[in-house]
Amino acid sequence: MKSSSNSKNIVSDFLIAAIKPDRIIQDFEEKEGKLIQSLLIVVISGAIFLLGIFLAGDLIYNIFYEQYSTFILEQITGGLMYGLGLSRYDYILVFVNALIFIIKMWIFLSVLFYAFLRLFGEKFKLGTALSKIAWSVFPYSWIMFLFSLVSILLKFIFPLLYHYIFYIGIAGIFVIVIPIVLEKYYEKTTISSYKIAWAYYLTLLVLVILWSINHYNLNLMEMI
Amino acid sequence: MELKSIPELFTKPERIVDYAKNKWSFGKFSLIILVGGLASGFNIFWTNFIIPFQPSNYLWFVLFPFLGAFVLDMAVYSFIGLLWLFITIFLKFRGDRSEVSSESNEKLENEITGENYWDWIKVFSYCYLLPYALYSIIMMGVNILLISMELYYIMVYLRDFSKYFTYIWIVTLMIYSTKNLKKEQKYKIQFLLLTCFALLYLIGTISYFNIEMYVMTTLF
Repeated sequence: MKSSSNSKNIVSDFLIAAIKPDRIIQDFEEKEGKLIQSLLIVVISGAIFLLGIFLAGDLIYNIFYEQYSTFILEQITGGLMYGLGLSRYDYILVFVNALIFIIKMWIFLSVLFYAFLRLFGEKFKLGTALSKIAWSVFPYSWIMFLFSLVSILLKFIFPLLYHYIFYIGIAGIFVIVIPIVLEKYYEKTTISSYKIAWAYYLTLLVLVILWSINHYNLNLMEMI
Repeated sequence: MELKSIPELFTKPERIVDYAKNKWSFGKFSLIILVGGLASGFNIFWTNFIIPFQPSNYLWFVLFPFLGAFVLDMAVYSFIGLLWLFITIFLKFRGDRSEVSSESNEKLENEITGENYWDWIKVFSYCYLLPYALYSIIMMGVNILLISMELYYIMVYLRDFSKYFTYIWIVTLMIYSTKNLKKEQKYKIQFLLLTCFALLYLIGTISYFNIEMYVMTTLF
């Protein structure tokens, strides 16, 4: 009984976290460091986000598949290392693989964020970074899901532009909304907003630099 | 500003904010725009056009640094303009303003920013301008060194990624400078600032690629 009410709470908190993060932040101490709960949030978010990508299909699906499967971290840690190459038409396998990729990205993002804050002289636990990243970044997946539904309509109006609008919208959430929410999560601590913003944006910069390695290769392949 | 205090601009963001509030002058502001802009123009010229395309017309050598100063100038003023527009829209949607006279408009603006509105704008223009000008001057030195050693690949890699470090610096400074605002206003203002910066980056990137395509296909 208790576990079912807990899971109900998680779902409602997950939905609220994207619109009114202040309500979640008020009693965040209960969630801090609870990795199973954070993992659950990441899995639910990942599934919702991927569902949106799969429903939108077409260019949005193809771009997502190409970018995530050629991302250097995925190539190093994914099945490709063992000769397991996935076709983009193996939808179920792609879904499962991309979900695992999202979980890996959560861990990577949190470790980088934690490492940068440690570099700036702040001391706190890795578990705290994992739960704060999970609760501040991932609840926005259902807004991204709504984006993908809108982009299905946009496909008929701007057939050559709708995928740019979709991915720029997602980038906007990562660059504009999440740093502010993350700052709110650290409001009660002594860590300054200056250091949090630096750590977060440097984390994104590392991701962009890593992504660019295969982005160049991909463009080169298309040109050839 | 002493040279030895430059690293403190990075580690102690309050230095830039204090500098903008207390030591601001139109002359210094213009000088930073001119020197930073010329350095920025030099970097744009050498790293994007001279090395990859080897143009035959060296008039570009003179023209580009001044074009850089113009671009920086426009970037700063369009940032301030866009911010002003966002804040005006924000004020419009702040509730029923039918009873608010134009006289109290300034009071409302000051209430939002937590201090004198134009002092606040000055701080943000410095937060934008100073990191970018410093970055351009440092990168000009680095680029001269790399070009003289013919390390073009490193130069191109630095061209593509070092600018993001400056953008992060600008954005974090702006976030920092809102720390004294009222809590309920602070996050809204941060949202406006980040949106403004992201929109300018988007417009700048699209314009840059269009200009580059035009230069590649017609001029050289």
